[in-house]
Amino acid sequence: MAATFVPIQSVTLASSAASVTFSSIPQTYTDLVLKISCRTTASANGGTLVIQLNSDTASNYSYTRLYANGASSYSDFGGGQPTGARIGFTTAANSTSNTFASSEIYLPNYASTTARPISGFSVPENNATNVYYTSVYASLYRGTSAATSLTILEDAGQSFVAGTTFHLYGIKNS
Amino acid sequence: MATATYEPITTVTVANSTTTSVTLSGIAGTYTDLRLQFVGTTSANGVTVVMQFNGDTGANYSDTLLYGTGTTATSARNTGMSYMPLTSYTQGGDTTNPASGVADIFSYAGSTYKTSLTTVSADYNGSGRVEQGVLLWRNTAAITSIRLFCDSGTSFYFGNGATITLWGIKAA
Repeated sequence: MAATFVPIQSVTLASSAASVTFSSIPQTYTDLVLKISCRTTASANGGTLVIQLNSDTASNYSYTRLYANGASSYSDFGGGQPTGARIGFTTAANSTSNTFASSEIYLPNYASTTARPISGFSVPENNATNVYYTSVYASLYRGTSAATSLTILEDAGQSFVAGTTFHLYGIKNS
Repeated sequence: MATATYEPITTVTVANSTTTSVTLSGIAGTYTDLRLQFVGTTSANGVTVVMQFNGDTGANYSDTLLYGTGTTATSARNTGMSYMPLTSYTQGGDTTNPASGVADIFSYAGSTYKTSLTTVSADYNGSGRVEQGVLLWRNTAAITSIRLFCDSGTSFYFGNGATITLWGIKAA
C-alpha cells in the first residue's frame, strides 16, 4: 500500500489575519491532520484556537479538555458551542518574542455525514511566568455533512500574526 | 530524497452489532513504529476498548494515565493488567457519538519491552473524557498481532460502523 500522510495545502501568513480557511478539501482521504504554529495580536494570555467545519456556526460543537500551566491542572467541558470546535491555546503579545504555540489537530472520518470526534493537542510553552496552558482537547462535531472546508480562528476575535503557519495533511486507511 | 512512510497496513470496519473482538495478525516486522486507531462506539456507555499483543493474556501490561473528565484532572497508574486501554469512556449505541483512541507503538519489532503512547478523545456534548497515557508491555518479542476487545467482557461489542486502522511508520 502506498505511503500516506499527504500534504494538501499550507498557509504562511505574510501579515496578520483574523482567520484562515482551507476550502475544497479533497474527499479522497480518510482522516485529516492540521498542524499549526501560531501567535495572536491579543495583548495577554493567549486565547483559544477554534476550528469551524463548513462555515457551520450552529451549536454543533462541544469539548472536554485537560489543561495545565505548570502550577495547576484543570479539566472542564463545554457543550453546544456555536463558533467551532475548541482545539488548543495560542500565544499572545506578552509571550516571549518570536514564540509561537504549536498545535496538532486530528480529524478522523472527516468526510463522514454523522457525528465525528476531533482531537487537539497544543503547547504554547515560552519559558516565562505568564499564564499559558498546555492542553489536550477531545472535541465533537455533530454536523451531518462531509467536511469540505476548515476555518481556523481565535475565539475572542483576535488575529493571527505574520509568520503563523497552517499545514493540512490527508491520511488514507488501507 | 527519502521515501515517504506512514503506510496503511489494514483497516477493519465493523459491519454488525455483534463483533466482540478484532484481531490484526501477521504484522510484518519491516516498520519501525506502528500507529493503531479506533473510532466508534460500543454496546454500552463507559466501556473501554482494550488491546493485547501476541495473544498474551498474562499480567504483563501496565499504564500511567493523565485524564480529564470535564470536572476533574486526574493521574492514575495501573500495574499487572492482562490488557491495556486504547479508548476509554465510549458511548453505547451504533449511531451515537463516536470516540477515538490512537496508540503509537514504538519499536514494536524490537527486542526490548514495548512502550506505547495513547490519546483518547471522547466528548459527548456535556460529558466526556480526554486522556493521554503511556503503556508498557513487558515482553521482548516482536509484536505480530494485536487483539482489540471490550474490557467489560464478551457480552459487550463494538458498535456497527466502528473502524480500526493500523499504519506502519519507518525511520530514516
